[in-house]
Amino acid sequence: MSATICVINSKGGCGKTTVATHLAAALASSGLATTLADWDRHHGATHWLSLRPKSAARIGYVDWRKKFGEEPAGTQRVIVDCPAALKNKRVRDVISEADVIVVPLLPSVFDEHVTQQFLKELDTIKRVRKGRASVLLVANRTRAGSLRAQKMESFLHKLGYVPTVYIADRSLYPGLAAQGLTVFDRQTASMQARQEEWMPLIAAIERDVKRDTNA
Amino acid sequence: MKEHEIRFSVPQTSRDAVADWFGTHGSTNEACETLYFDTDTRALRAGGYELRVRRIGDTFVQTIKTADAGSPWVRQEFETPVASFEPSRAHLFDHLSQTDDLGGDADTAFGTLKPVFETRLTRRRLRRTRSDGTVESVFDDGHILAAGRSRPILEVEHELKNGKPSALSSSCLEFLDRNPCAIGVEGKAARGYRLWQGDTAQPVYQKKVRIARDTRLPEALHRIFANNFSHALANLPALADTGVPASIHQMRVGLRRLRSAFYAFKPVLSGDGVRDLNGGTKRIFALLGEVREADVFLADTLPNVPANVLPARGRRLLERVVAAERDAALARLQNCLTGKDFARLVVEIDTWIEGRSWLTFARPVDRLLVDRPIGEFAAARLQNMHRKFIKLGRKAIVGTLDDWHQVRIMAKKLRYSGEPLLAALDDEVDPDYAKNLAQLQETLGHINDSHSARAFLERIRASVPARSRASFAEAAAYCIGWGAASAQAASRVVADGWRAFEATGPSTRR
Repeated sequence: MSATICVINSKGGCGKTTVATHLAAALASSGLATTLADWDRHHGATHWLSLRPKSAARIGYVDWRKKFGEEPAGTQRVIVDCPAALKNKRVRDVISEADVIVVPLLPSVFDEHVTQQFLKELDTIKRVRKGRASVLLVANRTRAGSLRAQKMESFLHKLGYVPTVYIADRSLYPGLAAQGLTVFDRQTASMQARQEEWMPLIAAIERDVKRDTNA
Repeated sequence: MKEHEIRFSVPQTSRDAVADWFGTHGSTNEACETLYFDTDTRALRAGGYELRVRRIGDTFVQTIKTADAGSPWVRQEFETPVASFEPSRAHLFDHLSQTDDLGGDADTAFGTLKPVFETRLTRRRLRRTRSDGTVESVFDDGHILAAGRSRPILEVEHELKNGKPSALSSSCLEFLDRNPCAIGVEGKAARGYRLWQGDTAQPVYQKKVRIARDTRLPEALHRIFANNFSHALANLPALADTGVPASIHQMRVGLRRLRSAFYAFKPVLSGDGVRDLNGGTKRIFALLGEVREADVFLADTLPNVPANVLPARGRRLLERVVAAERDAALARLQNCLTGKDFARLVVEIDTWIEGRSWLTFARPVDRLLVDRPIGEFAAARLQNMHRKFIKLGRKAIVGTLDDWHQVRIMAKKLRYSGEPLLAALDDEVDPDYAKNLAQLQETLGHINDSHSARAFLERIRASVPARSRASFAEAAAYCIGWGAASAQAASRVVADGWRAFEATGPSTRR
């Protein structure tokens, strides 16, 4: 049985597709049969997969706008690049069934405002409220320990959350995306340093998926 | 307490040199007398236990050893001082997993315990501490006595007292550098029981390993590697004693399973160690293969060649030449397996398995492997291997016998590598998949036996005396012609079998 990891925030442009593609590449390269389900109307993940070279770790694909809820046989992890909305019943249903919910956010007053609303809405879903689906926050384009990171931390602290990872803003991300790649697809020392930034999130997802399986 | 020891059999010609080596390292000498006990029904032996009381000077120590699942050199060992050669009931029952392991009523069964055999020996003992651990080495020189029979003991054991397996390995390798010895697989108890029964060593067949799908990768890998290695080594005594075909085949199967496990887990294994071990095991595998080829020719291929194809005289000549070739190949194999290089290889494999540092940590995501359940790994890996296999098969369907040969090699890899993976997936895999794969591999094997008769007969032709060479060439030609025709006919049958197999696949149930 596969585990579903939803990447969602009702704020657009917060890096959902970047996070989704990185999660898919990381889990696939660790040996898990991973599928990227593109449910976003911009189809960024679909485009990224079309650019992905055959030599890179294999990632399955399904367009949830056409074949909602489907996944290739043998899939172990489904990463869903969700639409930027939680009002839709279908989205709420998917979130209700997800094993892990990953919420990227940027260090800006606009993102904080929308994310606050979003997290409140998320809390109205019983499984999230009861702590049976974990919510992991990604402080995107934020360097750990920076002033912006500290501000974000105190903002999230008031809401009862702590960021799981800080992903620093790097110029290499757009370049890799243009080749259908992620930092997990290159094994140079500098790329491995970038991979380390993501590892707390990947490890937390795997921990929570297993907790969910064992429950 | 876990006992991890490696044993070497010392040739008579090296007795003095080994004694000198122990003396140089400051060994102490002691006389040991040991009685090994069992019930009338040999319940302890059947349960995998070993019960002994050893006297050294005025002290008596009772030891119970229990069978370890898999590993050839690692067992559980429990000791207690006792007053005499009378076994301690309390200590024994403390370490039996169930009291009825002794068979029926415990008290009655305990009453029937008596010595089955004994050992009398002089033991040289030394203990050395290295930076990575402490190792005790003993050199035993004496006899096993059972049922009025006697057999000499001349062996060295190195036991890891504390620390890492690398300490044991360094100690063994350093000893081997100075004292060329053979690996000694059977312990004194195994040899004692055998002497008591008056048996020769028998081939050992593999026990099925069941691994639950949620077993974490490191634990699952250890069980698979240790079990396969143990299976291969367990056939060494029979191979050295008699070299019966089943011992050759079973040692080969054990090694193949070990090598297949390297392949199955290749994506998660750290490269260098595996490459070295693969190279070492490949050499042994090739030597085993030379004997096995002769066995298959004599037992399967030749009897299938019809009498009207191969005249009786030619058949007798082939039997004689191939049997001589088998004897020569067996001698080469036995020479290798009782040599220092093989002993080194065994030490290296054991250290690699027990050192448990085989998982790769080349990339940050590799850290996830430590907690990954074998079932999750197996499902993804099996799909991957199956895809490669299908690709080769599709090529062979429209290709040549050589293409089917490649399919056969991959079928073996998939079958043997897939065994532990399929076992970990329990009821999630189509139960017919393994059966269909085994059937397909059998059919491909028949094609190969017929097809490879040519290479085999051509290879041994050089060893045929000049006066018989023409007759041999004629008889071989009948065989080769028949083999080629059979292989061609069988390739049409295998194509149908392939299509049936392709339709099943290892797809998981939903």
